[in-house]
Amino acid sequence: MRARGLRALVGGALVLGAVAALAIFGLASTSSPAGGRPAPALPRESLSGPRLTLASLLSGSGRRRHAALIVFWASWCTSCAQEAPAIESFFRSAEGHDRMVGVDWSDPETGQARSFIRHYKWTFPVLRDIEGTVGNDYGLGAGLPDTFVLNARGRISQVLRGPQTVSSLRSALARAERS
Amino acid sequence: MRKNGLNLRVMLSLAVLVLAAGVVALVAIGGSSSHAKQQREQARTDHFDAAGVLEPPKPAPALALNNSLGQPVNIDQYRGKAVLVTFLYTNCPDICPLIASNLRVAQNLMSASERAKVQLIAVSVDPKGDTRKAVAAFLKSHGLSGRMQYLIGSAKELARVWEAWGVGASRDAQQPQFINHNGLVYGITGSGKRLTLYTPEFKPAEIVHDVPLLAAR
Repeated sequence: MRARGLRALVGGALVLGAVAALAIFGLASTSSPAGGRPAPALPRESLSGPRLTLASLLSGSGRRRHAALIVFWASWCTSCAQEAPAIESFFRSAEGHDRMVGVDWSDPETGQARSFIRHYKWTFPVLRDIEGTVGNDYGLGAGLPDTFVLNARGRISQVLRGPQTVSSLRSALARAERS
Repeated sequence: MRKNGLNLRVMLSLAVLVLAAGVVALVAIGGSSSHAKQQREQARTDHFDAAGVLEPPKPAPALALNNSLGQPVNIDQYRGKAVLVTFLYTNCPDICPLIASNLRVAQNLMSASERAKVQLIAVSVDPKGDTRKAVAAFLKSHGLSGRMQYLIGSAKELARVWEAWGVGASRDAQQPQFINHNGLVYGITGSGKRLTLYTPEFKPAEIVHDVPLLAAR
C-alpha cells in the first residue's frame, strides 16, 4: 500500500515534470505579464560594448526615457542560438536601436560566450551575469532565452519566454512604450 | 404567522445541517489517530519550497558509480548533507544545461556554511555520449567542476541505477541524438532518504531554502 502510495507520488511528480517541461518548451513565442515590478539592477560587468546601467539603457542617447529590452541568454543555450540572428536584426532596425541589452547568464566560460557573440555578429551591448544572481533577481529559471520588456519608468511590463522574432520584439516594445 | 413558522423550520433545518457537517468534518480531521499523525507529518513538510514532498520518506535507492575522473562515488558517503540528485546528459540541448546552471546559481546564493551542507550529483542518461572528456567539458562550461559529481558508467551499470530511481531514459525515436528522460531533481535528506522533488523549472531560491531542512532530517 505504502509502495503504491510512493509510486503514485512519484508518478504525480513525473506528470508535474512533464507539465513543467511543456510550460518551458511549449510556449516558445508567448508572453506573460510580470506585474509591473521595478526592474532589478543590471550586472556590472560588460562582456561586449559599453557597461550599461538601467538608467542609461532607458535614456539611450537622448534625454527622454523610453521602453527597452533585456535579453538573457547563454552560449550553451541552443534556443538562444536560434534567436540570435533575430535580436541582432532588431537592434539594427530603427525601432530597436539603443533599446536593447543582452545579459549572458550563468556562463562561466568567457571564451565560449565571446565566440557566440562573434559568430552571430552581435553589435548591441552585452553584460555578464557570471554568478547568475541577477537573472535570479529577474526571475529566470524557466528556460532561456528570456526577454524582459521594460517600460519607460523602468518597470517590467512583460516577459517574453523563448526565442523571439523581430516582429514579436517590435510589438512588445511598442506595447511597453504605451504602458 | 405561517411565513414565520416556515422560516423557523428552514433555519432549524439549516442549523442541523451545519451541525452535522461540522461533526463529519471533525471526525474526518481528528477522529482517528492515524489521520492526526498524517496531519502532523504534513505540517512538518509544509515548509519545503519543493514542488513535491514524498511522505513518508523512504531510503534513497542505491547509487554507487564512478565519476568522470574515474573515482568511485557512493551516495551514502554524503550522509549528514543534503544531496541533490538529477539525471543529465552532456549533449542535451535544453533542460540539462538549465538544471545544471540553476543548481550552480543556487549554490552561489548560499552562504559558505550552507554550501558545505549540500552535494550535487548528476547521473548520466547517455552511457555512450557521456565520455570522461565530454563530462569534464560540460562541468567546466557550467562552472561546476569540483562542485558536482557527474557519475558515468556502462549501459548496464547505468540502467540498473535508472531502474532503481524510476528514471526512464530512452533515445528519441524522431531525433536519436536526443534522449528522453525525466528532468526532476531529487532532494535527499541528511539521513539518506528521498524526500523532495523539484521540477526542471525550479527556482534556485527553492533549493537554497530547502537545503538546510533536508540536511537536518
